[in-house]
Amino acid sequence: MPVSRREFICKTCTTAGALSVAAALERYGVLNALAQGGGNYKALVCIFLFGGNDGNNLIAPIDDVGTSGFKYSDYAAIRTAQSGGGLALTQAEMLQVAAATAQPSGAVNFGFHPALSQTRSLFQSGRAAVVANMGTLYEPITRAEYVARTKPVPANLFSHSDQQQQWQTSQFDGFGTTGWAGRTADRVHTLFNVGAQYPPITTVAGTAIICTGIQNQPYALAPTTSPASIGLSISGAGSPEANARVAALQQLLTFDTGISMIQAASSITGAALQQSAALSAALLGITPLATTFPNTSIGNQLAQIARILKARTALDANLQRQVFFCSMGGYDTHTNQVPDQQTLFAQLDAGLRSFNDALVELSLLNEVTTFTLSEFGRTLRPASGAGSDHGWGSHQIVMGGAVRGGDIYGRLPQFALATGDDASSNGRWIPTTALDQFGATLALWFGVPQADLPAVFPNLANFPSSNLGFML
Amino acid sequence: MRRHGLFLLALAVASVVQTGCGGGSSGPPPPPPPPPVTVTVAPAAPSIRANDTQQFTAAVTGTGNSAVTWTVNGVTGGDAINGTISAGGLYTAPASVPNPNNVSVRATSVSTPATSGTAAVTLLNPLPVVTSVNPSVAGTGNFQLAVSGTGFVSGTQIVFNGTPVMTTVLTSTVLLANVTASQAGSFNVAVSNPNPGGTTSPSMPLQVVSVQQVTPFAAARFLEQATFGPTFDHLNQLQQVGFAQWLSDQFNAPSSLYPDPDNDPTTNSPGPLQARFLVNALYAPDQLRQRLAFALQKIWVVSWIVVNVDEGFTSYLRMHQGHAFTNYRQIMQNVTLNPAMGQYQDIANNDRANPALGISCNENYGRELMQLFTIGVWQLNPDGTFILVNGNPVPTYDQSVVENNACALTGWTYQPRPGVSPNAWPRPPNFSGPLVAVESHHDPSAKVLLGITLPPNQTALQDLNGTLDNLFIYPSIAPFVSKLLIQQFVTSNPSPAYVQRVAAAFASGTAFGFGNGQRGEMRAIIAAILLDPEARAGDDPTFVDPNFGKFKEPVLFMTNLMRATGAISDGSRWSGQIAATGQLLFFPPTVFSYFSPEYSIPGMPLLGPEFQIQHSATTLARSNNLVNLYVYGALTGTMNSLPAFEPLAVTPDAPGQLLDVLNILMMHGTMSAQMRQSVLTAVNAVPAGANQLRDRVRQAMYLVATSSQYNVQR
Repeated sequence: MPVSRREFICKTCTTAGALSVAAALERYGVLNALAQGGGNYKALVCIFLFGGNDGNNLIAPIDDVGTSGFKYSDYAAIRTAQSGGGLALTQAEMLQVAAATAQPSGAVNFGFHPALSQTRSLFQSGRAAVVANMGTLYEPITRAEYVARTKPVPANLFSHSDQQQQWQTSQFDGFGTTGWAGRTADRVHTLFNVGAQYPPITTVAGTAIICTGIQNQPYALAPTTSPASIGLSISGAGSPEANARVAALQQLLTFDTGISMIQAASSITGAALQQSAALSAALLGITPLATTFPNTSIGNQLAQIARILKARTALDANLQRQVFFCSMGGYDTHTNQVPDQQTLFAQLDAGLRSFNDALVELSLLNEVTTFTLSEFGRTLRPASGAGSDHGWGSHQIVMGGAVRGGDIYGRLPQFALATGDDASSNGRWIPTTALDQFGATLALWFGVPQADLPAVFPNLANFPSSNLGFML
Repeated sequence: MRRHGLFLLALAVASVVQTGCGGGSSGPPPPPPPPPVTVTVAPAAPSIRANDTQQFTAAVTGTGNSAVTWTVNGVTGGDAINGTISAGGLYTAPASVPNPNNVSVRATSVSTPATSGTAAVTLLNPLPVVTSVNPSVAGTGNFQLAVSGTGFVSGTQIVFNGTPVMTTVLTSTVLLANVTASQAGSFNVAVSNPNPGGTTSPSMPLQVVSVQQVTPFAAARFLEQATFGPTFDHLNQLQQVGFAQWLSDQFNAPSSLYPDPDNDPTTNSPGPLQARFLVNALYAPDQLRQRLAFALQKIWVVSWIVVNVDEGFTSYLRMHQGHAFTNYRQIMQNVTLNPAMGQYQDIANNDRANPALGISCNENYGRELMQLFTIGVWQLNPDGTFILVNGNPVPTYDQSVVENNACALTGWTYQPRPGVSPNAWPRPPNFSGPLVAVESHHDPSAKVLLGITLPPNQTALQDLNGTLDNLFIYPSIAPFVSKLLIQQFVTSNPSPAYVQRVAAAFASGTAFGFGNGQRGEMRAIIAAILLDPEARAGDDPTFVDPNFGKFKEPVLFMTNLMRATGAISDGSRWSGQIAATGQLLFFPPTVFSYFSPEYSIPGMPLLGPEFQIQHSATTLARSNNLVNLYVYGALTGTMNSLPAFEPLAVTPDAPGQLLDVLNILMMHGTMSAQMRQSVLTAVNAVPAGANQLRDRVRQAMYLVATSSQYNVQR
């Protein structure tokens, strides 16, 4: 139940901490041996699409095969507003794929958005999958239960800040203070990164709460920072005066820590000085990647991540598990959705292709799994202004050699208003797959022990399965 | 009049006829002579005050022609010196009473110009009226009082607490006097006019508050909270006048300006506006207004990411400057109809719902208006804590209210540009003026809001006012807005009691003698925030609350540093450097601003909004791109004034003086002995040589400016 924001109650650390230490003691010998072999590295890459990406146009049925309500024409009928503000993709422009598994409705053929040609090709070669209608849920809920509020519902659905926070913390009362990737990283850091000096999470998109753990805070750097400028610039470096300056600066970080704000600032700066020195040295020691990345925001971020992947052994040989965070913005398409989503998807698509190619170059294709998140989907019915309003469940992409690709996991919604899967009258989908299930599937692959999952994903037990099966 | 005239005419005819027939000595007797013509003017002897009017009447007897010519002192129609009179006898007294103060108003018969009537008018000085007193709150001691009103003449005096004081009549509407109030209290200010007709006006109150001995430390700390950073001049001035007087002066200071947009659609750059923002922040006198306008930009967010033309963004910046000291309800209205916000949050061209066409009202602004700008998502007690029912917080609104707000705010669009039809919908952006309503696109349904229902078929403006009023009276708005503003100025974690006091000022419209008593009065809210005991407790550096304060966001960090060191800058080129530290001015990433008011510091039970953008990349950029560049580097368009500090670093033991000065100017007395010693050691490590003084100052400045101790405002 919710607690006041001012009470800091660590909901997930006490028992779980004990569990993971025990697990570490039990497995240390085995895992360390595997780590020596160098074949146990894994990384997760999270791409957060800020604004609420309209998954309805990420992928949709492309034909009218299947049960009524789940066909292309059902989707199109609602998405096409006669005033000219229609959002429906046409069958001709969609990029057709066949899912390995038919939907419960019988539908097998789907179409990606026309700007997602590389994603579609990765899907066809088994390197990418789609997780359908996934969202924040305490427990499975039907429309009738939602409308009557006979079951708990995440707080402030349809609100950007609240849903961004909940998608990242997996705590649906809105009071989470750590991220599920942070909690995941805490566990694997203890198990697999023994002796590591560098933190498990690196972000190139600022400190989103998803990266915040209990024991570990992420390292943040800008995507375009060159290796030499990571770290403190010292005027007159090497002179006695400059050395005295640096020594004093370090010393000041240890004073006045009884003042909370000073303590917080100093711990950020202190960690930054230490970690930046290591990262800078590591990146300076690698040769550039052959793979080129598009010069877009997401392209630059994924390129920086790829360079750090290349430098990972030089950075810290004990770092066997890493999480990376990057993001795109602009998905809040209340207006002009068609051109905006075209631009955004084209950038995402090109970034994913380059990143996949870089992983091939680095022989890390099976070791790195990339996934998207977004704080909600959008209404199937258009809103005035040629856009759509905030929704709930949406479709996400998972990419990597360890992904059981070429398939759609979970059930697409019924394209009908004010009935079925609609939480409202505009087509806001009640999720049919839970965020916790999605995260748990990734965490299991990543090496979080099954027994530790409930501590990372507090509502996981409410769902039939903790493994959606999209990882090999 | 007419019948009388005809009768007289008949008599006249009769007498002519009779006269024409006579001839014999034995004829009828001669007719009686006609009655004399008289003119009587009323009122006969009035007293009239300067500028007043008096309607005179002229009663004419003895002739059928009642027309008269009016004169004042012999001049037809009068003149400016003695007063004017209309053809109908409406006299207007002169603005200034002549000497002697009597004039003669004469009505002369048109038919019998030799006959006239007069009124003897006594002119009196006007009634004096006081409309405002400035300052309305003053500190004890001597100060200049300005009284505005009407009816002031040469010889008018200000009456301060019953005693007339030597007064300068600046204009007919402004008086000045130097007055002394030796103790705190409420004083009456009236105005008295001299004879003729001298009277004293009703009075207005003036509050005099005790001016604490404002120490340099307290002055510096207050300026950190209320401005873009302390400067030596400001410190001295504030120590002299005290907090209340300073606030009063700041409330009355005219607004600094932004340049007019060039209205060239092919050139749109944020650069000039960013530079002007910095120049205003560094140098303009209206520090508090600008600091509040900046705070309002971070609450009522518009970003250049979307509104990317000079005209649009300038209108947004000017709006916040202009309404900063008015009323929160006015702010709500202005922003809702501002074309830049209209573009950013889709208010413009928000069309009524049309289910047949599959269109619903756009919810963007309808949601953020409540969530971010007015009442928040949880119901609040007056002290800002959550109202709990069965241990759970209670939402303020649900999705249906969002949808209803969205439809209530439909029908607004941009003013039509030249060449665009007034019936056009939707309309292309036009930032030249507020949004206007097109009723046919306004949703006519009833809207169920928070505890009220707006009836159907209201106009767009009626629904807009209904929606905003509904939120303005909602109880949560007072603590919600109060806490946001406290966080912008003073501390990230105000106590509930502090929030409650400021919320009370929001509700009552007065605090510490400031404010006009209307709910939402901004001056009262700001005074409540800055003068509150919790804000002022740390003025004594020995008083330490470990959880008090806020982390200086990049823009404030840089302006503080530049103002403290007397930088000379044209404001250009700094926005890119500041952006590397996490805050690109005018480009907040989302409507949630550069950082969220609800961000809590990892690992601490404390809010720290500014920490949301402070991490390894940005903390290093702060040291590199800001401090190192400013202290050691050179940036075109900016010159630091560090050489001004060199005299303080002259002798081997003198660097201590330098640190003492920095302790006042930059840390309001909170530099610990440890820190002082550590910096001193580094300063003394600068070797002898031609640049020793310069490099000692740089060493000290770099270390203080990069320290967490300086980066936290407390």
